[in-house]
Amino acid sequence: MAKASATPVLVVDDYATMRRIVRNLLTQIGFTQIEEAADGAEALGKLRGSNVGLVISDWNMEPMTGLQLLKEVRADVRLKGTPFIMVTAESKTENVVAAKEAGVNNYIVKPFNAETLKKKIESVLGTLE
Amino acid sequence: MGQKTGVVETAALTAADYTAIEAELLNDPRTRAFLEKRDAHMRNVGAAAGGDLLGALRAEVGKLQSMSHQLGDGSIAIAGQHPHMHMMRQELRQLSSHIEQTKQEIAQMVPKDSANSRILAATSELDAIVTATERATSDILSAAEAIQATTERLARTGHIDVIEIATDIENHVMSILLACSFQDITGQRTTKVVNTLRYIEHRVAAMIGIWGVEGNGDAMMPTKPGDTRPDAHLLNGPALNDVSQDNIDALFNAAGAPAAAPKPAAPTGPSSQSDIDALFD
Repeated sequence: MAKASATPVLVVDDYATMRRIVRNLLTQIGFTQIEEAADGAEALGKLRGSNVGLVISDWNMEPMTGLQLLKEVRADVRLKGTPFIMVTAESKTENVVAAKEAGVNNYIVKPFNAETLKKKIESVLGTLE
Repeated sequence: MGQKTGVVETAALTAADYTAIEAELLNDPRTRAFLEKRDAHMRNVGAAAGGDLLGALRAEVGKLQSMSHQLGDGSIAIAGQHPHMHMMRQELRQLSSHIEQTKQEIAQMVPKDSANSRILAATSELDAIVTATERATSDILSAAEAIQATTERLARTGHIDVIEIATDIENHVMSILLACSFQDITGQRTTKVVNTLRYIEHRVAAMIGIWGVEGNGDAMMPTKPGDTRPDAHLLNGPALNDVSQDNIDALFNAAGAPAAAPKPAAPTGPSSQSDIDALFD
């Protein structure tokens, strides 16, 4: 069975800084296949054109937000089972509830640390070690 | 044919007819006596009616004079009874003056030379801050990544002491990387302020348009149209106070399954990661 860290990951954030940080953290915990997208629409295109096994997405992006992306993924027959982690500064209860209703697998509030990211990824994909 | 009504209709009488009838009546002593008596009677009735009319007119004039006096005294009385009237007039004058002054000040905010626009300048300054911090963060990340590459080379030497030092350095570099995420948070906060400034700019332009104050509307930056994203009502940006991941986790674990999750009620404050995790358990 393939290691969880062999899963192709798509990092979606409109801030290049954040994409770079998350990419670095993912590399540190063993991921080697990492793609990036700057908003929901670009991410959806990449998801439909490849075999991404985990989406780590920001929420507040334009033109397509992370929540819209999540709903598109869950509505797509081929993509609907893709694990999806929301990483966002939006921290109100209604945000978490809305994301969960839409089918998010986990939710990380910014700013976060490496341990939190690793723990949430493991809760979705299984142990990385 | 027509029925008799018993009413004798009055025939039209010319001046010649009148003179002729009068002469005829005066020839007969009896009819002449009737005319004289009738004339005397009519004079009495006319005098009485005139007297009544004159009395009534005098009464009306008396009333008007009385009302005139009352009005004259009344205006003084009203002023006396409502001392706030004068104050209200003063307040209205001051309000009018203040509106005029505000119009002039607003006009000065949008001078014809758009480069001098204070709001525009403030927006540009904030944009410059975002650009500068983004560039600086990128430089810091590049340096941190270079250190990471170096520490990996150190670790490959195989010396246990060096490996320990390399691991220590690696942990510190990771802290630097994570600290760089400030650029995302501050960037979002600054964007909110920039959008607010643009909104104010738009409203000021609208006010100038309404009042017809001279200004250069073309110099205004285009206002961002209303956010049409379906989840725009959920986008509030970073919370003012730090939110712990533990609280977010609790909230997440407490939330029901997607199909059964409760509808959000009134907007609430920021949640911690623990709260979020609780929604998901």
